Amino acid sequence: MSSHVYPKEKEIFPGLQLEKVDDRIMTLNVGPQHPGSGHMRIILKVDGDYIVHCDPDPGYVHRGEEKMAEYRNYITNIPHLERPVIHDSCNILYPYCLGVEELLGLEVPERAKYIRVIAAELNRCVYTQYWLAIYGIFLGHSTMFMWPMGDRELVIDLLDKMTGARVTHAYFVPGGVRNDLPPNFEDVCLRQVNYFEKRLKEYADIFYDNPILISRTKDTGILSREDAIKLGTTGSVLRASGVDFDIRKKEPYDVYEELDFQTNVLKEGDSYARSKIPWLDMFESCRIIRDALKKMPKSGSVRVKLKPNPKGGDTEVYRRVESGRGSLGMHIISRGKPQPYRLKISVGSFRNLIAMPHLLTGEMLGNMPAVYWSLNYWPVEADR
Amino acid sequence: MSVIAPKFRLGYLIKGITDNIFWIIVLMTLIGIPVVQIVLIYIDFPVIDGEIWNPFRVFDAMTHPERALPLVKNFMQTDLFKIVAFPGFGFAALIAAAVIFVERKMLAKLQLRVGPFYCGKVEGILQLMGDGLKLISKEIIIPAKADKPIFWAVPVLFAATAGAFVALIPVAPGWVVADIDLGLLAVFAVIGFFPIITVLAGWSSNSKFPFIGGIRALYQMVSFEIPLILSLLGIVMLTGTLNLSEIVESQVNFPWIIFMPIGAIVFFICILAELERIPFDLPEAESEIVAGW
Repeated sequence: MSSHVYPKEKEIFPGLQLEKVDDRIMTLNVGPQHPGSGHMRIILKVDGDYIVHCDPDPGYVHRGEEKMAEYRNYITNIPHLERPVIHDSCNILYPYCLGVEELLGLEVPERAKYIRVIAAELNRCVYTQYWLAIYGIFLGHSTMFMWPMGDRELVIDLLDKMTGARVTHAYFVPGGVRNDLPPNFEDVCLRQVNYFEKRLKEYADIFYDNPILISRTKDTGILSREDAIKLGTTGSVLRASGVDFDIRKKEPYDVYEELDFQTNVLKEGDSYARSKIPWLDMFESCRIIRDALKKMPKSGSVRVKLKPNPKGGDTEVYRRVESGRGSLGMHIISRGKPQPYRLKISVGSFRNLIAMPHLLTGEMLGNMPAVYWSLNYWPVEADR
Repeated sequence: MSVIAPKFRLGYLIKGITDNIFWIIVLMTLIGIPVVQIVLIYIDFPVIDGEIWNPFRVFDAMTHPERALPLVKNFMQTDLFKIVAFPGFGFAALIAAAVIFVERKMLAKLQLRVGPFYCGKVEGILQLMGDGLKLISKEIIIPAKADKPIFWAVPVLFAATAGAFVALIPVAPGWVVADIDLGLLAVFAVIGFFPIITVLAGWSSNSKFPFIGGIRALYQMVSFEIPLILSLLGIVMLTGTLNLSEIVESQVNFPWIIFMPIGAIVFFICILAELERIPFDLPEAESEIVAGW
């Protein structure tokens, strides 16, 4: 029996609906119709300004991609599989194509491998710029919303030239890429990427060295190295907590082992480090693109000719790549049919979401957007 | 029943205008002129600059505008003109619109955009007018569980406090709406109203997010009010008066900011916090509490 007796609800807050259980605790439904939630809901319980309980509730944009994949052939699966994260469409198709190639026993031409790496890295920049823009507007920094959105056009133009589409490319196919690079692409790409990198450096002045940003994100939502490993986070969240894990380095696919780049690791594990890692990764992406353009064979086939309706054997494969949000794996189970028997998509967004209750509990409500979006979480991808 | 606009014909237009003129003349002669004459018998004509302004003098001034000058000058010294037009609301609205327009254009330049561009042909000069018209024409939505009298009263109270500030600002020598000796004290008094109205605004809509925003605004305003008042008290010690006009006049030779730079910086920061501008926009943080109260 508690010593002090709470006054009745109507006496303290006559205008306010309160929870029945405990007068101190207020439940906030952040989302799904909320500018700061994305396509999801976060059920927060706040005591004053402090969050005492956090329950993320995804699933509002579940589209059954995995089930849809069971009714379509291996080639016709391509366009709808990139829908969960259209800004990173090359990277979400990457594990599917790698898996299907392993399933069908296809050998990808050398030039196609380089083109894939270039497209994937360009797409990572597009995604990260979009993410960064939203991070800026989440923190009330409208200039940081406009700058990445504008500079993103540079990369989108390149991908437009490459693939013919601005956002949903459907560029990767099992056995290579859909079409060869346009003539004179290397020069244009090099010029745009160099300018893009120059612009990226300017972000430090307006955003990352900004005392307001630092005061809002430094030492908020600290995820220790042990917790990051235990919770199974991936990608930038894991690397911001001091774990040197990048699938491009640890399990190199295509030609990543021949390219010159490094993994960015920060030890702090706070929101600031988590927001900085994707930005640093974009510099590495520029480096990879320049290196790949140099080492790429200048001519050759970019696609293996496939039989109509290729059938996989009675096996299963699992391939994963490093996407903009971390490890993105696809588990394809084949039962000798032209369609996959089961396709399981394991996305980095969903794995990073698990860290959210851990990070938000005990934080102040004002830190919620800074912590939430620093998790590099894309609600649509997490719901598949 | 649908209404179809009739086809335009010039003959109908001319006929309509002539009909209107005919009826105006008839009604004026039969009703208007007798009524005006009856009224003129009972009222006294105003005496301005030693002249009696009878109706004939008014008609005379309409044909010779230079003879209307004393009338205009006289009108400009009335309280009505001061409140409505020059140092009052009209002028303040114009200044506010200009400042917002310049801010929007400069922000746009910073963010690699063009900003308002189409409305008004010249660099979007009429954009704010368009925005204002759009806001006025919006449907009024009141939440079902809102405390309706307070919900209605809060915007009016906010407009009133803003108007009170406008009335106290000395724009030019002699051009103040309310030239009172305790002007600075009146400023403090009006500032003291802000937190109360803000909490009422957050409370009255009976929703959780505005409530949090209102409480945050209350904390912020109350905590920044003290340094704001202290930074202004330095000026009072230097000038020895609370009258805002006299404080402005005392800066004829040199501005006080030279002697009190710290006070000026403190005042600037505090007034930003008081008005909830970036970076003190936590009470209306859009991404967490949906634009607050």
